[in-house]
Amino acid sequence: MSQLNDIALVAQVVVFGNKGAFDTLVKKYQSPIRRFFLQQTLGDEALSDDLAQETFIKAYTHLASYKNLSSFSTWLFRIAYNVFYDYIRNRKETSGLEDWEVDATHQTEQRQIGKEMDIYRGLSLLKGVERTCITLHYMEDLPIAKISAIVGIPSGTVKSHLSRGKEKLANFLKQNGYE
Amino acid sequence: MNRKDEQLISQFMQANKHEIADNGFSRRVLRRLPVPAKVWSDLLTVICVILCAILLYASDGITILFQSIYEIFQAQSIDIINHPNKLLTTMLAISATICFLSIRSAWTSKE
Repeated sequence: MSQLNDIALVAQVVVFGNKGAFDTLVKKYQSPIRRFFLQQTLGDEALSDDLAQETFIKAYTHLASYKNLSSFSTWLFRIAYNVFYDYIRNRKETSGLEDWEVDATHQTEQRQIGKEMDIYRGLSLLKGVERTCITLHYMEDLPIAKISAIVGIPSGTVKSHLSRGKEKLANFLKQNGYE
Repeated sequence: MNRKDEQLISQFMQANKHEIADNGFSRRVLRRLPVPAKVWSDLLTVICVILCAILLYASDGITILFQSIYEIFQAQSIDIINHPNKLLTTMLAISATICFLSIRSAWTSKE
């Protein structure tokens, strides 16, 4: 039903240029998309909002290319994932650092902002793609097949990332008295 | 990775899953949306139409236009009276043009 509503709203935006329909879609998906970015940036609210805005603008400009092969939310998360990794790539190019170094620098900056927040501390122990798989699976309740479509890697690789991520997270939680 | 660990992670993640209030976010997104190219082309068409109408009015084009139409009809009427079989040809030509335009417009809207 929700998927049908999304398709109807997408059709209204594409055919009639109805911005009100797009506003409904933004209101519906702003929370999961902003939450996704908050987890990827380890709690940087300003950056998360900027990336979320970019995601919705990209979705609007490419809405005609949405072919309904996947659900609208999966399509939107795929854009969000690409936006985040474009941002990481640009940061890497401007700073001249390697992937893991960008990640580590980012984590150090964010540790100051969210040092009391165990969720970000826990997620900071994971590699970028592990963090994406873990958050999509446990926070957004997405099945492995959808995560595979969003991240663009085979289901088997998603399972491996999930397994490694879970192990690291479980150890972190045990060490911090969550048992 | 045992079942207990799986449950521990699941509970921890769900406990940290918060709904984020809109707080003007969607309004900011809508404000930043690009204007579609069609709006610009429509705007250009309107401006051109208004300019043409002003020019037509300023150069007394309306009078000249009506005078020309009147003269064409007058000449045709005299011609049709003198040669009645031309009326049928004219009617056929008009009907064929209307049919052609209708088919073309139907074909374009279908595409």
